[in-house]
Amino acid sequence: MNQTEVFEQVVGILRPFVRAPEALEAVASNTTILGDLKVNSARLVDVVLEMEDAFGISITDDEADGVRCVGDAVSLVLAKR
Amino acid sequence: MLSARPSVTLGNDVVDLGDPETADAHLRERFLRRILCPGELALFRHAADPKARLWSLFAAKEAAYKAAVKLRPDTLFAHRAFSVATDLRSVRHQAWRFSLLMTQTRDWVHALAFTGKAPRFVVGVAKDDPSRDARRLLLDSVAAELGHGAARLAVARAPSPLHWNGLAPPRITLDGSALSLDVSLSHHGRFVACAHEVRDASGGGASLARPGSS
Repeated sequence: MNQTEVFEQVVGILRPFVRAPEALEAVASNTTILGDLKVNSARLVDVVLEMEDAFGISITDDEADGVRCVGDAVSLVLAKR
Repeated sequence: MLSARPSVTLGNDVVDLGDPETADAHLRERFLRRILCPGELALFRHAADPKARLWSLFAAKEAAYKAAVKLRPDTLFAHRAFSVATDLRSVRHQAWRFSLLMTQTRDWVHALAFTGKAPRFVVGVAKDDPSRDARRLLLDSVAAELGHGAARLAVARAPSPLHWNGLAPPRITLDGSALSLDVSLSHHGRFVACAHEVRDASGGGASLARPGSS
């Protein structure tokens, strides 16, 4: 799975939890998950759990805390696979 | 006269129990284990209303995080890093201990985490823009507290590269000058909430605007 494929899958995981759908239309690596996409902190937990399932990885609290933007999530997945 | 530094550090959080986001999380074991510490899991499992207990604990952790990040901007944002005491009256994070005041109604739960004297909090109903509504609620309460007209007050957030969203926690300004009064804002679903330091001679405490009265 390459970077583009991971990016698209991460965006697909985020999509149901996004409260600013207009921000998804121009989503990029530097799009922030809490700020730009307005995913709230409870749903961020769901995002982490779904990423674990989708990519077969385990994400620690420290690692989750380091994910600010979509690109961070993609880099985390690529680093753990 | 306001001192140069806030005498209280506080955070607050409200959760709408009727919001679809809160519907089934209490039934999902992995979600629970991601959020709750072992002692909190026991509190949850023995609660008469597990759903309300989960979101009360969640709100307590969020409130304590909002307070902690004022003391240390790079505080780890992880729910399990904040541990609620079994008596539900405090939250611990590393070496810090925050007093905790939790309120539960049929429709919402609210948590207030703080150091020092008990702050005042208000919960109200969101109208059209919850962020703006929460700010209005805060300005009205602070105006009543300080005896100034709300029009002279504003909520400001300074740019801060140290914070996760690039913004420092909200502060109150009076005629454009920052006050040292610590404040906190929250909104979720149908509800908005605010909390602020109390500076009157009568001491701290809470006031509650029941839904529909704000």
